[in-house]
Amino acid sequence: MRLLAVSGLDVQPDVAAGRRRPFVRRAFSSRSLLAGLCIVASVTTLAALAPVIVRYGPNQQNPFHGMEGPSAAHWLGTDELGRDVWSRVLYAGRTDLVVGFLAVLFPFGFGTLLGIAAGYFGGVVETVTMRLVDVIIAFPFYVLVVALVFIIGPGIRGIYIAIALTDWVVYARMARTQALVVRELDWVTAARSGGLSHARVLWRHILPNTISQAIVYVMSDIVYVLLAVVTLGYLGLGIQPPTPDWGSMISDGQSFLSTNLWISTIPGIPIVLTGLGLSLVADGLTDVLRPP
Amino acid sequence: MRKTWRYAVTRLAHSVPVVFGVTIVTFLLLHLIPGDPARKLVGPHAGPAAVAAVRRQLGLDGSLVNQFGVFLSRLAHGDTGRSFFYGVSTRSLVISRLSVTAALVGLAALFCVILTLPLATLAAVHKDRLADHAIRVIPLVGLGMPAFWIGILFIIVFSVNLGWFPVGGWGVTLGDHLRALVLPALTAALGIIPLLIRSLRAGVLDVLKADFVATARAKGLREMRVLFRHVTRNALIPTVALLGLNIAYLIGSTVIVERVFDLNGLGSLMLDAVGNRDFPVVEGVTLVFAVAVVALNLFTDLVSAQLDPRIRLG
Amino acid sequence: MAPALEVTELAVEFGDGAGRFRAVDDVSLSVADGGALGLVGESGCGKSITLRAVMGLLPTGARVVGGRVLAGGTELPLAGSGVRAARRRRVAMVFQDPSSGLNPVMRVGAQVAEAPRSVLGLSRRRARARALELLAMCGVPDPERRARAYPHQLSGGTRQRVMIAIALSSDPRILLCDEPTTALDVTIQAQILRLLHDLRERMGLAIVFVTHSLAVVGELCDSLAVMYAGRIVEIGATRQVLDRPGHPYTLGLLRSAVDLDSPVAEPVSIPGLLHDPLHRPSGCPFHPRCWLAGPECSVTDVQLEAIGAGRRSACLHHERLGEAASRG
Repeated sequence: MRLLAVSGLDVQPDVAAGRRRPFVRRAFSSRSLLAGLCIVASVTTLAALAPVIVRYGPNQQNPFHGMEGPSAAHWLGTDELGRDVWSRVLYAGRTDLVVGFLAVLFPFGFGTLLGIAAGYFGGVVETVTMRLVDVIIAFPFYVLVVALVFIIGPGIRGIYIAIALTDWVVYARMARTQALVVRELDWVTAARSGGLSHARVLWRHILPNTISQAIVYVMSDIVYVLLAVVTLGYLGLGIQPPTPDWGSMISDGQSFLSTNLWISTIPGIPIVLTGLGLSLVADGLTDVLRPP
Repeated sequence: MRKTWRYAVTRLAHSVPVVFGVTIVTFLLLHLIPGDPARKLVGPHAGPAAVAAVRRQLGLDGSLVNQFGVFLSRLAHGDTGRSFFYGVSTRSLVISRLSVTAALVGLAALFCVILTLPLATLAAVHKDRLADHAIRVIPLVGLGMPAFWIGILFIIVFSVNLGWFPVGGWGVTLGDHLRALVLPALTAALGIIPLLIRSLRAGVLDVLKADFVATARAKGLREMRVLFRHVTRNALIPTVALLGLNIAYLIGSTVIVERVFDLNGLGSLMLDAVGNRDFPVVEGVTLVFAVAVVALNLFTDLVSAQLDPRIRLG
Repeated sequence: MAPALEVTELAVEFGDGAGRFRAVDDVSLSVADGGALGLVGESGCGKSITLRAVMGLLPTGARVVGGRVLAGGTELPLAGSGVRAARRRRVAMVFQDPSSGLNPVMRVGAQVAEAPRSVLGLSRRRARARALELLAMCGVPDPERRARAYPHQLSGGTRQRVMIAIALSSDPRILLCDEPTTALDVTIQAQILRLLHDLRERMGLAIVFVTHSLAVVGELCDSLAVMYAGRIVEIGATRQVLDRPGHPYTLGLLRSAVDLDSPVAEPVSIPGLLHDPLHRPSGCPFHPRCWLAGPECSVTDVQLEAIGAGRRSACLHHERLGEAASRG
């Protein structure tokens, strides 16, 4: 008896182990996600409640009490013009965090949609989009942003436009890669040959599978955008005085490093905390959204 | 050998359209200015003759395509315009400042490699133990740290308090230059090191699980040798690739780092030009930066190919 | 004389707390010098883990909780720092997938020369010469040229020959083969098997050959051990086990194979699935899938018992198999 091959020998793969636990429950089991959300929530709450919890206005000058260290009256001390640092830090948060969160919306939406279109339709759409992406990526981020701000003018409007024009490229690349993969999946080709229109396939099949990766990336992207807002503030090209901004506060304090270093160091802390919180959220989301 | 050349040439060919696209975008920057660009650049107080002169100098007469043609032909001759503020050619300004930025980027890239590789490998080898957790804090906290803030903290600790490095400036002797570069290069490197550590740790974990590592261990080799000869060499490949992807960010961060540390490089040239409304310099430096990125990406591609025979030999 | 390899009551555990289970349970086997033992079973039966435990290359999360391994009469530690040193020049392993088992950035010749240089202490020139020798011995055509190549430039069959050369490069007495032919085409499989057979004859190597293919075992091995759910359920001379299986699982495996000499017989797969390792059936682990099972099979913890000369089986009803086999 010559045996050639053996069939039926390997164990069948496990039948899908039942339905996955509902999203909310999985979300709560991720420590990173919870910790991150707590941190972000704390920072944003403090900033939101600024008008209620501070004693002094952010631009209230008090020249006779300038450059003082932390005290009972001024929890984080005062800056060179006698303004209360605690108040300025919180008010700066109101502007910086809002701009940071809002500025990602356009790149996220536009970039993902364009990327999906490029991956799904291919051809001219893909070539043009990807060439454009290659070109924009060739410019160092801050160089392009500074050049754009120069042209459009400093301030909040300049920031929004500069981010909108530069930040969408990563989303586009990511979405295109995902769309390429999903497009080739068996059940998608089946749907198409079953007569489903492009629009339906895109909406019901391609989009949901592409978007989870983008959502995780948004969390890290908010950090980058926040850093950009704050950096432009440091360079004097961002949010303009008198509106307080973490970046410009740090810049103001740089002349006084040998005597009063807290003016420059303290505003960095909420930035780092927000970044930490969002990174934890991104890590947690990656685990939670991972396919079974 | 021939296959390696073919790979190099292919990569070079891919870079050309990107450089072309870059020149188009840079050219278009000027035309994004709302309203009359010449008037905007010169300011509201200048007379019509000055505006006309600027318009001529910038090549703004004629159709858009015409202007682009002029722009390209000037570029071909190495002419990137004349600085409004300094009155000399942009090219000479760029050349005088290039070495500072190049040295800064070079040293920063070196710091990236020598800091990331051991830390990421250590974290991966001791996965889920103390060293790993400690090292993983770096990406978590580091990604949210603004570069200029890190720079200022360094200045506070190492310059003001410890006096090891100058607070800023470039110095006179070569020794001065090197000392002046350490903190800025470290600051720039720390902009991307958290990202590199996170990615490389995952890469090393993948390599450690790989079968060829088991083969090496099965041969009876000492663990140290397995780590160096087999794991690290393979882990270096994604590191270099990742560094290449992020080199653009590294170069861009010189804009900020040079401002923090008061260095006279291309980055601060850019910022000064912005402050001086000196458009030709802004345009010229932007172009130089972008071309540098493309060139460096090409370089890292070639280095990757050298490290990974699968790339260069197909 | 001591057998080349002797494994006694080896046990390997995974997981902890409620998730703890034995992937290898009370496994004993032995191979004489120049002998070849086939270790057969489904995926997940623990055959690879057994090899890795013997080699000292268990994955993280696995730990040895019992048993001894002796190579040529010398005890080999199963855990701790001396694990690898003890196996030098004694045991070597050939892995399953040659496309991932070779370092992609190192030339193939250097990989074969590495053990002679670092482990055996040969000079660079002599290590190189040895590498070429080994490659030639393993049937690699044009060894000088192949030695300078990188793994991705070689075909699957050549890569596997290189893997075998690497295993031989540390001068072992025992060769553990973990499904080395599974990833290869059938024709290449035959060549590799022939190579292993030749090496065994020429060098007196003892071989343990893990596979899920009974066909392969029949070609190469003189004794055969069948594993199910971490245990050996039958062991004996290959011809005897294949001609008259002593365990229903072995018979099931035979029946589910395609038989070229008897085209009318269709393969019949074993009903049911391998159980979840965390929920072992009581008594004999195979009884839920076994047509011979009676009430005693679910309560008795069946052990390997001698059922003939040099044959053992862990089945209470092994005599009834004689009738079943002859019936077809």
